[in-house]
Amino acid sequence: MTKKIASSAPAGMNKRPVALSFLAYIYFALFSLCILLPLFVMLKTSLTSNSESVATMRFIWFPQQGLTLEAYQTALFSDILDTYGIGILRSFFNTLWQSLPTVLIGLFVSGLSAFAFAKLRFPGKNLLFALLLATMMMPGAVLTMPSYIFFDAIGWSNTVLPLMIPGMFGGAMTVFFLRQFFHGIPTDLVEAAKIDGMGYMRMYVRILIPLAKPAFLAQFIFAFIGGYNNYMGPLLYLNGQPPLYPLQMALTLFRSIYVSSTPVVAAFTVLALLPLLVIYIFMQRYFVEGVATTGVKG
Amino acid sequence: MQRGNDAAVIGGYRGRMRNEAVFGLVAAGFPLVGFLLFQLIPMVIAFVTMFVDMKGYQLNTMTWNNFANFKDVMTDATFWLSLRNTALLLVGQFVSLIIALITSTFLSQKLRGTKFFTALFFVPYICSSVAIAIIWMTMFNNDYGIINDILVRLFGEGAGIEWFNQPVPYFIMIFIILLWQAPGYGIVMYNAAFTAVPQSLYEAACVDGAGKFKQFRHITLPSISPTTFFLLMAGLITGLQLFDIPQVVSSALGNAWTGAAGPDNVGLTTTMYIYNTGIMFNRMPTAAVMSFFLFFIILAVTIINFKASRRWANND
Repeated sequence: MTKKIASSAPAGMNKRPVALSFLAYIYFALFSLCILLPLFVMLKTSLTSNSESVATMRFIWFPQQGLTLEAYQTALFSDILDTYGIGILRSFFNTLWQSLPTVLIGLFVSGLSAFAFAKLRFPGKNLLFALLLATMMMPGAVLTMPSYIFFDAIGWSNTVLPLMIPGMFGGAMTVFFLRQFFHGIPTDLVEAAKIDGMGYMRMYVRILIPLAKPAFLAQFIFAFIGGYNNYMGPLLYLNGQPPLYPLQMALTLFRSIYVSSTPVVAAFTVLALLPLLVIYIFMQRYFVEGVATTGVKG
Repeated sequence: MQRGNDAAVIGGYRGRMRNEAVFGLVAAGFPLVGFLLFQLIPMVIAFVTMFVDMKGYQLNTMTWNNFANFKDVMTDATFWLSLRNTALLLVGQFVSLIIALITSTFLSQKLRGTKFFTALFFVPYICSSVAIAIIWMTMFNNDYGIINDILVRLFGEGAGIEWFNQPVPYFIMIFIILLWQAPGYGIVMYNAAFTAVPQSLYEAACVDGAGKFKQFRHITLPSISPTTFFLLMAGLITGLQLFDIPQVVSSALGNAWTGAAGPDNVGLTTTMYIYNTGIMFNRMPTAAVMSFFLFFIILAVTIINFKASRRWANND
């Protein structure tokens, strides 16, 4: 039947066959269900009362006692802060102070390096760039043991320094991406500034950064997601020091403390996911750009 | 790069040129200093530790031990098991690549609502591995998880599966959790690649009477092959270093102090085992050997992929 319709519309060769659209929507619906179901289950669980959850030894589709915020109350205001020295708000704050300075300074430094590669003349440029590209090939997880030995030897283990300092030197991937972006900015602008006697740092701050704002923002978000979701780093260097735990690390601790109270664990998880999801809803364009552009070939 | 007009520009600015060279070198080279300090030096130290015994992490207690660490690793059945598990979970990276390709193909049809679906499908990528692991453990819970509930409702009492206590279900659980998170990145990358395919190619194909499938096979696939290559590479490298999700699941299920990961260690990846060996069991030199072993596997896979891609990826 569909075949007949398709062949009876010779002018619409370029048009989508109805069957394809239909198939696409079925696919989208199923995929959406797969993505949303776990999130909804978590949200629902977090709104279920603890007594009902404990009493019912199976999955609760519709809470009989209605929805309640008591799990959130426990998650936000319980006394775990006194016992363990860490609560969800504190861990969130830890995440911020442990990742933001690194992300911001790292971004500034990467941009400076990208500026030099894209707009300045200096000897050994191609060699340096090749070296930088080579460092991108270094697989991170393989470095964990070597780094641990090194940081322990210089007395940095059990501190936040291994999590904060290395990133401040910038990242090859970011340099690579920003350099691509800077190539799109007319070199005449930089040449004119040189003739006016403007310093290079000022050029970078006054000309390059403002013109490349979207690129910086995309990279910032990309790096911030990485910092916010980092689990292995704190596990290696902060394990056993709950007051310093950032969010992800604290989340595993909270889960073990409240393992018998599913709604509270769910509430913690929802709270941990919420900040990034809210930012994502408002700045979705930059999230997607930050990801898509890191992989565009040069 | 544009050396042609250098001479003209230089003119009387010789001093300025020197400034530029100094500033350029320092600014450009700074990230390399970080690499030197925090990656290369540690690698060199770790390289040395492969050949020695030492107490804990104390470098001053190093004594040559006649390749004993290498023998330890090569005869360590758990290490080989962890490599096997990693390889099996790597299949997930291929599956996720295919899911991403199919999804982006549908999204590229520009149907109504495409923007919304694109945004939605990317959500798992920004969710933390820890949160994802916890969410899915709640879903897979033997007693009150939604998955067993559905199984029981569909197939009757007794259809529930002991996900946490049996090797195969445990492995499937890890696999599913990984698959939930992985495709988001590929979808975004493929979306960008799809929009970059010149529309004129499709129009020409239409005139020649090529159907949708033929267009996909002969225009779309070759045009996006660089992205496929990139995603395959990124997926393999990520997959070989897999840590977060299986680690959170195994430590949450009560094996945090033994390092065991699920029944029969089916959820133990190589990176997890390296972590256990080095940090939990304080056997840093052995962990260093494993790290370098993994490094060479990743290197080999990368090179093979590069070589093979010349046959199918269109790199102009």
